[in-house]
Amino acid sequence: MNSIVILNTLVIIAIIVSAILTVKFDNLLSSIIALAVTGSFVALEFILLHAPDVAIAEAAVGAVLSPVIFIITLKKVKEGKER
Amino acid sequence: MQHFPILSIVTLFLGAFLTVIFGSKNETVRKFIALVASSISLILVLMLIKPVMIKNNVIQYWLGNWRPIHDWAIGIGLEVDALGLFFGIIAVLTIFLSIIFSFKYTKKDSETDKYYVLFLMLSGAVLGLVFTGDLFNMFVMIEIMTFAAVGLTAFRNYQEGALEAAFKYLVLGSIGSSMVLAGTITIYSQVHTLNMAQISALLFNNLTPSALFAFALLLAGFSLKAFVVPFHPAAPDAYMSAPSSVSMAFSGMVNKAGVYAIIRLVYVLFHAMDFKSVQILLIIIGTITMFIGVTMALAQNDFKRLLAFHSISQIGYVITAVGVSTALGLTAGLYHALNHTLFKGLLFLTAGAIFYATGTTDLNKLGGLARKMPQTAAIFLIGAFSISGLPPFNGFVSKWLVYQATFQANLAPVTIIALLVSVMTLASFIKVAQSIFFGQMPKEFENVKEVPLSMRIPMWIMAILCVITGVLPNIVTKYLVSPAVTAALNIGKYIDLMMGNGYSEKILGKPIEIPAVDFTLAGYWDPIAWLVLFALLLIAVTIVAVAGGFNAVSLPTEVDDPKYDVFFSGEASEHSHVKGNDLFWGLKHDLRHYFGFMHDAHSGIINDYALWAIFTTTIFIVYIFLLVP
Amino acid sequence: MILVNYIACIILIVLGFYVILTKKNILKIIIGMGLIDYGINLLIISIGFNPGGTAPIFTFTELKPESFFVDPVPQALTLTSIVIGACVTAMALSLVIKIKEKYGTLDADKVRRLNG
Repeated sequence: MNSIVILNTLVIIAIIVSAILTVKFDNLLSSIIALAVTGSFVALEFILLHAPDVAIAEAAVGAVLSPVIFIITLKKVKEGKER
Repeated sequence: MQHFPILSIVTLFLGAFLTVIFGSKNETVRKFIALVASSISLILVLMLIKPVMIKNNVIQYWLGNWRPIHDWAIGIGLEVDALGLFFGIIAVLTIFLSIIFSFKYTKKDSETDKYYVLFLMLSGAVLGLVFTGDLFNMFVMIEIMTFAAVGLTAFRNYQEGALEAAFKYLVLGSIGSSMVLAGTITIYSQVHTLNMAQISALLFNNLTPSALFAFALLLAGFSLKAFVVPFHPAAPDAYMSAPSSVSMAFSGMVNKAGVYAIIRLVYVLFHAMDFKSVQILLIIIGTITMFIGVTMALAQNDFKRLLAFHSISQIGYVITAVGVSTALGLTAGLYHALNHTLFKGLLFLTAGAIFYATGTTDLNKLGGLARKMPQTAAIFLIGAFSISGLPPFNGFVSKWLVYQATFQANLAPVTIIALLVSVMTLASFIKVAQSIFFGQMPKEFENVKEVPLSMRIPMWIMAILCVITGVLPNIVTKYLVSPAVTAALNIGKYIDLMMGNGYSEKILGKPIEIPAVDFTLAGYWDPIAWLVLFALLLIAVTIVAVAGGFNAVSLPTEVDDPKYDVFFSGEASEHSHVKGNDLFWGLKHDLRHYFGFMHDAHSGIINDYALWAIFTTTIFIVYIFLLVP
Repeated sequence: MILVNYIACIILIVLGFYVILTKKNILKIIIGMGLIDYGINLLIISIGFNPGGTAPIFTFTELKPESFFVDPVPQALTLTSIVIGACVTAMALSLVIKIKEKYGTLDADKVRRLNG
């Protein structure tokens, strides 16, 4: 097992763990941060799959743009936790 | 001639962009741009009828001139054959009439420039969907269509429930688009191409399990766009909250785009109509859609929500007729799709006229408007008789074909259910006519006037088209519907003309012969005979009325003596109009368990609606894996 | 054709559908739609992977008949899909702001004035 396969498996496990954390958190802000972490790990996986332009696009959208507009909405809606 | 399809799509998108740049301040400029863009599109598509439908050419156009290399398609191609052009004609007609109606209808709204931008993008996306020959291009057009539709649903956000209807439409539409994308990518992993003609050639007799999985996902995704029954709950909310010219476009164009995608998927891409299990699946879904649509419509209180449920029920007719995969069935389905656009668009425009004049569409508050708005009442009656299937109008011809097609395929229970649904449709429209147009008028509608002329012209054009397609079915079938049926069943020609001749040697069969559809409309029910009969009766009644035969004998004391009034047990005679809720109360009471169950099931909670969609997708996947070999 | 990637994609899509089906807060439903988009994008790129290939970005002089690269078509599809996902999220969030102004609550059991 060379090191690329081990790195791939580690990144996949990180994606699954952060996705499960997104579902389980009750506080909406923590959920959004977990979504951003998932997006960053997916972008890292895209680099390992030899797709650099897609990785740049996914990092820009999923780790910067989406959490920013979510947090702006949270501020306008004044909502803290789920339920 | 090669460039007409792409020009008709690009004109609409260009009109949308020009409205943003030039039309945000000046109202005349934006109406002018919208009118010019839709007229150019209409003329270009109508000029394509002669080469494609009558001379049987197929126009193909590779974008950017990327032609296939070594028999492998590498570019995006547009392919316009008779089936696509049939749906394209329906779409451009709806766009043109809806834009003319919306000139005066959006007078009281603010920010109408955004309305025209969204509407032109919606129409460009629908035309792009029916003219394209590439599977991923279909997905992109579906997404543009969903965005524009959500924006237009939430347009009047002061109205009750418009925002939540738009949100539910967005979530459910996004689920459907994700399923279409997953199906596309599963197909790609097997054949490594995205061109529909090449996929159809490579998948012939070659159905591996991943292709079956993709077929189930694509069928579920396109059915969600067409609003077949377990996927339908977002439709009544969205049709009810949108402005009426947009509701007419929803039920006329957006539904038909979903039906076109299902026909293209099942007939051309997968050759799946040879399997009996796929036919039975489509027939079962169609029958359930017909029945549930009309029984929910009997119990509604709002005019546009009732029309939306009827729209779902008529799409059930189309899918049932498409599922009976004989030539007669496909003719019946396509003819009913054309008729449905005409009469349902007419009814939605009537609802818009009533909302413009009175400000409400609640059936329990309106009444007696036939005296103040006589032309609208006449147009509404033409539409109501068309949808129920009465002889000189067009609903009769297509419903007769549906009955004949299902009966000849040994499916007598489906014919009986279709007849029952027709009767219940007529019943619910009598209820609407009584509640809105006849009876007594409440006091607050005293100074209601007829709608302005630019809103009446599209209604009259559609009513005349309803009568024409009902009285002359032979001409419509020979020039419009039969070429479309031939194109759907003759797959080898589709592939040859896209990829170069000789490619369809992989399809070892020969093209399927199309039996000639003849219209022996069984003697008594000949539409021209009924029209002559109605004309004779009208002349007879007019002669008798002019000669004074209808004057009632008048009592000497007519008005002032109170002993001749109706006795209201001591109270003053009040407003005693029979409202919409009071008709059919016996039927609603007898079937109260069924109606109670259905009203609880349409609960309005978005998690329930998503659960129905995913559950039905799972049933499709299991069924297709188990039963299609 | 890596098996572990496909398992991760299926888990992401199933988690996304679970959030849409059971959570009651509207903002949580939008987070679920975002998870489904991540899962489908990862599935598309994983299908197009050839083991041992390089990234498909070349100039004209470098492209030789024996270059072995991963499939470029799914990467184009993924770029389109990422942008569409961002637009859906933006539109849904603007609808949520207006719903909070009008209805006063973000609970899916209470935003249901149109029913029956």
